[in-house]
Amino acid sequence: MLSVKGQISNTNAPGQADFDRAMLEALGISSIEATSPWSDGRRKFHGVLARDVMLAVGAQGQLITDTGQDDYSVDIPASDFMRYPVLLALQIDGKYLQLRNQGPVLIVYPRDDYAELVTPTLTRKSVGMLREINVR
Amino acid sequence: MNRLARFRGYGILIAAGIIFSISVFFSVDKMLKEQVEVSKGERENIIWATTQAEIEFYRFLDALTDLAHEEPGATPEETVRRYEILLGKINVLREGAFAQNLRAVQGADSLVGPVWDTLEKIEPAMNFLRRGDKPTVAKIQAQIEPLTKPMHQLSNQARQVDDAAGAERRARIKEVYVELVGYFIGILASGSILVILLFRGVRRAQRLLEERERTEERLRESEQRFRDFASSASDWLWDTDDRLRFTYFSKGYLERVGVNAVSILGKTFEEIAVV
Repeated sequence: MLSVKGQISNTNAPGQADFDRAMLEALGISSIEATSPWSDGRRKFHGVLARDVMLAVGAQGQLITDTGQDDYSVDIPASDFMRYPVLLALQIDGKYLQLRNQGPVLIVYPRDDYAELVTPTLTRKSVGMLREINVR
Repeated sequence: MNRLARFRGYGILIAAGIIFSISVFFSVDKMLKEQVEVSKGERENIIWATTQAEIEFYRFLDALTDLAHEEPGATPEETVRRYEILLGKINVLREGAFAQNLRAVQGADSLVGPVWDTLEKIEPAMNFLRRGDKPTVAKIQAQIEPLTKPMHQLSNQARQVDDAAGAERRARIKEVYVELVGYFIGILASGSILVILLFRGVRRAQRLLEERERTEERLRESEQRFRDFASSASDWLWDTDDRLRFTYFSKGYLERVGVNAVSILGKTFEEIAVV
């Protein structure tokens, strides 16, 4: 479901850490009620904190490249994940996300709780259909 | 005449100060307002969203063709994955921030809606896809190939709307630039006048100070000359104030009369006579 590679110290495959849904959920489920560029209004998202995934793999880089199933990729400062409760959402309103609604993993920023996050690049960083994280 | 010149000087100073303050206030206010406007104007890039959808549409068509021709790597699962990604991209145009901006594009709703409906209709057939199953693929292609035109039209219309918005933004920036230049000319002109007036005021104050020092020096010299003269003269000399009280006695007078100057200074003739 999600692969993390690059500057990480904990792997379960050559050069990378592969997560399925159960492995991600085992890191601890968090929830957030937030607006996102991909849906109307405030929605309830459940998932795992990006920070927890970074800690689980022992990420040591400053920059994170997130790539979606559609091959869209964007660079995100690692500090975003460490400083804010950014969610790797697995569910929306209690239902698992699918490709057709930007799943199975969607990056959700707590944009309603941290005004400083609302910048023109925020939508670009709210990657949907996330499949790979590369720590650099 | 002097009062009129002074009034004119203060009038210019006040006018320059007011123009300066107003110019600074409006230019700062303008810049802050424009900053807010710019941040409000940051819209999701609908060209990016519509182009992504169009690209995924062609990727799905290619995946279907590859599956029908049993190309290496072409699998039903991969084709379904491309279909799901396409649905995801079309969904972005139906819900959320991009969809909201896309509604500004005339006729966009009437393009997106039928595309979504058609893609939903082929969903059952997607579950029966097999490698080399040309009839099923042909059936799906026949349903979705007519979407080529609306998908492209959507991108084009989004581009046109974005171009128009871009032209509007550029015109607005130019207008704001001219307005700000006006304010800065006001700031520059009134600021220069204020500096000149301040400079002139300082010079005038210096001149007055120097003149006062010279006058005081002349007065001291004059008083000293008078005292020298009075003390050397044998005549009786004295001076009184406006109420006829003694303020000065010459040395000759004091010696002749034999009184202490301290005891009679500040007294009138009558008061001294009583003493």
